[in-house]
Amino acid sequence: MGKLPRLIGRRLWQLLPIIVFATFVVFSLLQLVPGDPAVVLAGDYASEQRIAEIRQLYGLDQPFVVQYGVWLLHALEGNLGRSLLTSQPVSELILYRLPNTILIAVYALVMAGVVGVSLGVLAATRVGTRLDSFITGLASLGVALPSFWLAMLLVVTLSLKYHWFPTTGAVSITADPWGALMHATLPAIALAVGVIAELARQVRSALIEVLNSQYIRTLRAKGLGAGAVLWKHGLRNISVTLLTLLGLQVNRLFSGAVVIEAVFAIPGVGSLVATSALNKDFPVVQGVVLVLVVIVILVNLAVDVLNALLDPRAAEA
Amino acid sequence: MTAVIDLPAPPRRSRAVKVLRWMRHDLRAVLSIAFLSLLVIVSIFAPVLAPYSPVDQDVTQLLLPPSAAHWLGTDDLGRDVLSRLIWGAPNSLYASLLAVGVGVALGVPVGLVIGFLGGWIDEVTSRFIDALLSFPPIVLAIAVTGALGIGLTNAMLSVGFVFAPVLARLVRAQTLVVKSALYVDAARGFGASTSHIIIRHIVPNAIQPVIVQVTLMLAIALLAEASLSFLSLGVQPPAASWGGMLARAYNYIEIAPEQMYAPGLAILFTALAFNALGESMRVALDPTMKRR
Amino acid sequence: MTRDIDQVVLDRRDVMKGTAAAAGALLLPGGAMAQGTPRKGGILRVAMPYNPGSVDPMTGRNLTDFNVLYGVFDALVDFEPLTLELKPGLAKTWKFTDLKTLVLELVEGVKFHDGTPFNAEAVKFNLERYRNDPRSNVKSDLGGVDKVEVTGPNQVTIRLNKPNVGLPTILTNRVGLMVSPTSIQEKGPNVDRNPVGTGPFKFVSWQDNDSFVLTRNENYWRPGLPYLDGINMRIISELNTVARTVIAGETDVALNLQPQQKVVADRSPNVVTKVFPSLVPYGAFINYSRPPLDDLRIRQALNYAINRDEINKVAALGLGQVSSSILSKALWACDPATANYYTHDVDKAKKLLAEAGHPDGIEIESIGWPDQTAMQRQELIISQLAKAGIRVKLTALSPQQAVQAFMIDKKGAMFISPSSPFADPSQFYENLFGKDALRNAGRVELPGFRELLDATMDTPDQSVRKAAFAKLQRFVVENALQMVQFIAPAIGVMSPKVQNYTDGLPATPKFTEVWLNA
Repeated sequence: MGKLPRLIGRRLWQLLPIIVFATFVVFSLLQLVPGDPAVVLAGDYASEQRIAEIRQLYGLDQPFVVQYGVWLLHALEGNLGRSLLTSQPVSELILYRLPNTILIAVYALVMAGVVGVSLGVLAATRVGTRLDSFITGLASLGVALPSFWLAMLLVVTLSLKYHWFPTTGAVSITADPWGALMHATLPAIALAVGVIAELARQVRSALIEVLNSQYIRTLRAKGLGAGAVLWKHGLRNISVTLLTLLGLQVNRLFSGAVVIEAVFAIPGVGSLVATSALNKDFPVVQGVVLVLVVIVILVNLAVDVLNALLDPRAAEA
Repeated sequence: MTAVIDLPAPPRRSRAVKVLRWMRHDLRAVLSIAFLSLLVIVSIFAPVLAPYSPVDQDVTQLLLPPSAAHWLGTDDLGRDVLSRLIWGAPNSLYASLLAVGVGVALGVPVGLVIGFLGGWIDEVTSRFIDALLSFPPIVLAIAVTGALGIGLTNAMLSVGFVFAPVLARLVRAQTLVVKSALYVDAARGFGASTSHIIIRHIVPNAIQPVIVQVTLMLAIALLAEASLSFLSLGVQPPAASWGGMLARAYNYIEIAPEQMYAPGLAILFTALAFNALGESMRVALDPTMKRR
Repeated sequence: MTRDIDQVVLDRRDVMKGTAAAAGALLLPGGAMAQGTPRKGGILRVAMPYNPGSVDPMTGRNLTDFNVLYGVFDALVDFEPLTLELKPGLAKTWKFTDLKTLVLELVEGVKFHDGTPFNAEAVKFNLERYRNDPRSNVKSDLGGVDKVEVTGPNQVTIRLNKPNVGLPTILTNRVGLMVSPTSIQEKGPNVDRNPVGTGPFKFVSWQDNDSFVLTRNENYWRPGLPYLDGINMRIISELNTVARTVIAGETDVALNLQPQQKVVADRSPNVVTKVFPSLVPYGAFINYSRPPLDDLRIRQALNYAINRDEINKVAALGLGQVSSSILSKALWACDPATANYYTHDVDKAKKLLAEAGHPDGIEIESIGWPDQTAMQRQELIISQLAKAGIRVKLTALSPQQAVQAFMIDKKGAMFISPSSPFADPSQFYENLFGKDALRNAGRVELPGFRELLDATMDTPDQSVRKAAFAKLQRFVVENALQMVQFIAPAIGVMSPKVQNYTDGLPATPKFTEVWLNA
């Protein structure tokens, strides 16, 4: 178990340079975006003189590296600055919106995990049957389906036509847990479908390989029941792959959330980043990117740790 | 194993033949190639096939359901949906190919080089790649599109930038595997030059998973174009694109929900075809793999 | 083609059900609604698609900030929403003792939400802040103000260094909103998020892009008002979703909607939709300082080539007011004689192009917005212009980038976009066609413009100003300095419980006298 702290240490050590790289890349890109936050800040009352005044007032005329440096220094102290457009502290903004995105992402991940793995197991244990082909076909469909089109379909049928679910944005989970879940269901389904398809496929092929392996065949030959083989040995063996897969899907879920939040008008970090990027509200974009990158890395770390616990050999990797 | 003066290059040609032969028997591959060929034909002959011009507006015929005059109805400016769908095909193909092309052009050489050279170049570049890969892809695409300017080409360039690190990482991993293979050491032992090694040994072996990945990426690029157009970052008027049509349809989901079916299905079937092609190529290229 | 000022669309089922909506909401001309005595109480739930930029009138920058500003702040001068007639606000009277001196008598006994008194000192503080603070976006509104003097505990004298008869009208807007000086001194310069005013409602909380909460000011100086206990505003970025919340009964009023939402709302028996005229012109800014649009004939060709009725029908469902002039006919300063100067005449457009040396047509670079609704309008315009041989090459940019590109970097010949309304009609002309105006990308004033504009500011006598505006309007329209398409309608969608809601011409809703039926 001495490997574990070293593994954790190594990952955390990688965290800082990745964060710096990621935020620097975003910052540079935002600098390239033609357009000027000073223009936005001046709004209807803009005049060239006013814009120049604003630029100076907010330090927007400083050289690019200086602006980034200032931001980084403050970020390291925990101060993510204020939105250029609304003056709201970025950390407050993110803390408020992140739960909405995380609710949908976790909901989708759980849904996908349960359904995807079950379908994969089902298909693997019935290889070659019609059920298997059906599931495989569904998986292909799921991967090719544009998630926001599915979202639109869900809105039209389940929400507008049958009124099973609300169409409006999101509701705070602390204020109204049931309402929050109802609002999050359709978005979560739309997000989950692609992941279900991917998981079903991967689980199916990994499980097939394991079930056909020499080891398993030996166990069967010894008379061990199919159920026991599947549960105790089959799934145990693919658990590492499974966890890694789930970890990889987190990034994809955050990405999908941007468009889904737009369709369902959810005030989450996805929609935040989309509008802020176009408005060159760089403190907000930097802050969101920072948080998302940290989450993704921490999730990957957790996956690695769990993998190491489940299968000590994985810790060597 | 006899000693050889010049190592034989991996048998590329016969592998290609083997692949084709396999695919001929795979129904999935046949169907997908047929569909994609149809798409290419439609793209080339769009001016002839489309019953109307895709930009002809008629404000007296807004949002009509399918009829004899307009097989798929009309959109919110009275334009014929079928014609726009047909003219959207070349834009969609262009979008996917451009994104993937950029990804390959940027990612593959980088992956090859850092995999081959190793050392600190590899370390630093891999860190950079990890950083790029740790952010949600669409965020990167939005930022790059914002920087380059809204439009189909720029949006697809940004998707290409998102693909590049994935491909670079993939190629690097393959390169490392091949690099350590015995026969490369042997070739070096025989005095073969670096470029000779790269071109004749590493590339052909590293390239296989890339081909599969690239085909799958065509589907992803198509879906990405749709997403970016939905966020109003994609296609410029009055060009037709399936993603753009879907984005427009969203405004009318209450008044005219059927507007979203045609472009959505077009995207779905094309993505399915790309995926099916990729999957069958994966199997064909390595039939010993029991995956699928 | 003007539409009647008040239009309520009632679903027939409403009438048959005999709901409060049918019985109660009969609109009398002029916007007064007679439906029983106002009832005190209830929280109004509002849905709106825009997040306020800042609730400090000084640093705010968007018209939509007014969704909340008039709730928290009162202005020195008030106005009648549908006619823009000026009414007493915090200033009970105002008078020009001479063209360069404006004396305001203030209402007595008013307190800010933090308990501090509203008086002449407070007014002086505010006006000077608006004029001098580096973060002030609204300095230009008080251009020409030389000194603000306290000439009595409740009297303020404003001395101008050049006549500005539009000043009382301007005081209905941002620079007339009174912020508590104590709050500014205590909370430091950044009160963007901490509004303390004298208004009918007090600020409670603001979660960006999510919610904005106000509660009744129990000590409001206008007796008996407000009726509402409070206002809960939800900010939802997508317009259709905003409309749906009212239809589903989750909110009571939806603000800032477009005509497209009216279609959906009309299908529901649960809501009432209203159409109000507004002052927002949808047109295209033109850079007339350089080719190709420095040529009058080509500008006029643009104006003849477009089919305004079609654009109005498609983009505004026919609810807008077709116009060649930037001013709405609902405004006193608009002269109906030239308001529809340009007809749809493709042949004339072609002839003008030929005269200008382009018999085979011309290419024009234009900037536009990328969202789907704007795209629809832009595609329609492009197609109409193409029929006259004018080929438009459109670049879509986000609204801020568009302003930067067209107005600062001087790219493109034309920018298809609505423009914001202003308090006084002279401000429309100054801010669109004046030499230093940001929106005048060419930064060029046509000879004759300045004299005509100055003539509208010579005297406070409205009939004289009206005649001067008529001449100015003719000049601007004949010179085709803009390509105006239509003046937008303001759409209100609300539950039948909501009484006394009027959006008004400046699209700045006021909830002071709104009440909720049980």
